[in-house]
Amino acid sequence: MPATVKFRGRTMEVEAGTRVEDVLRKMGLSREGIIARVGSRLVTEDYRLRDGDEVELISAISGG
Amino acid sequence: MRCSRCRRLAVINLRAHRLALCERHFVQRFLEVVERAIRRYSLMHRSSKVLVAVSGGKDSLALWDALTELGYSADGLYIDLGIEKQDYSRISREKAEAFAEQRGLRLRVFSLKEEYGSAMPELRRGSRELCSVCGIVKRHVMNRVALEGGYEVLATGHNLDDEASVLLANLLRWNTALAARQAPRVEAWHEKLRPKVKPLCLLSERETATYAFVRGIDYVSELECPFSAGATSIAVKEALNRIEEHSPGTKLYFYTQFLKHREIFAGEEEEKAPVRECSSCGFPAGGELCSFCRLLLKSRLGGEKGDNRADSRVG
Repeated sequence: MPATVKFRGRTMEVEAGTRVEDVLRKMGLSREGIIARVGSRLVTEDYRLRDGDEVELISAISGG
Repeated sequence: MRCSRCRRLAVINLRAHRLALCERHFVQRFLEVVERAIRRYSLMHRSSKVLVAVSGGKDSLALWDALTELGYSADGLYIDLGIEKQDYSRISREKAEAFAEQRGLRLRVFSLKEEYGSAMPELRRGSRELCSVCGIVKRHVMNRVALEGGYEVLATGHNLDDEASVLLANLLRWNTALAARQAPRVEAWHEKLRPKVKPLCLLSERETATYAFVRGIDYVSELECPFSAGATSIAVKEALNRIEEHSPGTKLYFYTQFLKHREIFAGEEEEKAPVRECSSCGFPAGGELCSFCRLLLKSRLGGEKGDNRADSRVG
């Protein structure tokens, strides 16, 4: 079972073993503007996704 | 990745500082940096009566939480702009109210619609500079509430990304007058105004988001102001983050070195028109009416087609 990544209402499946920073790079997102949550805890960009992980990427950038 | 201090699992990697931190040590450092900014830039005294402008977003709620943790006497002010699109104002207000209630803090709610009969959508009518209109409204209300409530200092949740991006945007246009005014503490230039301070100015947006998450602060995360979509400030922040990605620490260096060398812009400020008192609200004004009362007047006239008489009851 692959891991799932949620960002701004969209969900995508990612192969287990992929690191968060690889996901961010693939999505064209800067790690400086995102925090990543797996379950109830925050993870750093070197975290490797496991089977069944549900990762939520939260944008830290706000503007106006 | 492990915490550089205790080897527990890290929740954030601060590449600019070559530091990874667990929840406990991150919160500890966050509070230390807030206190450092307060002392380094003489933002306020321990005994100052502070009014924190809260929007329901991560930065302002994180600031209110941090100031309270550090022992400052801080009340909150939520300005209900009356933005119905995407339920923006209702949701933001609920977040601010829930935060205050959970922590037993005092939140003052100021509704534009209730106080003036006009909400943000009416006040911004016909203006292309939406964010600057909002700025005029917020500044006026913050000063009014601070004056009436006897507060000595107004604190806002502007973070390092906000400050660095404003600085870059001003320099890209060589707007030296605006650059000359940028500071972590903006002094009041009239007895009815209050100094504005930015205690989060040394902390990045990612750090305030992490602090809010770790501290269990429920903030407006998925929703942005519907009027700020496509705002230039977001594009500048993203550009700075691309540079930061390549050279960690650039944002902090750019901003703190600017503060160190600010005097090179001294004398660039635009001369203020002789200060008068607004004939409608009594706050300082450059002309007959202050900027806020001019907006209010414009919004009311906009509702009366063909009638361009001035309304003497404005404010």
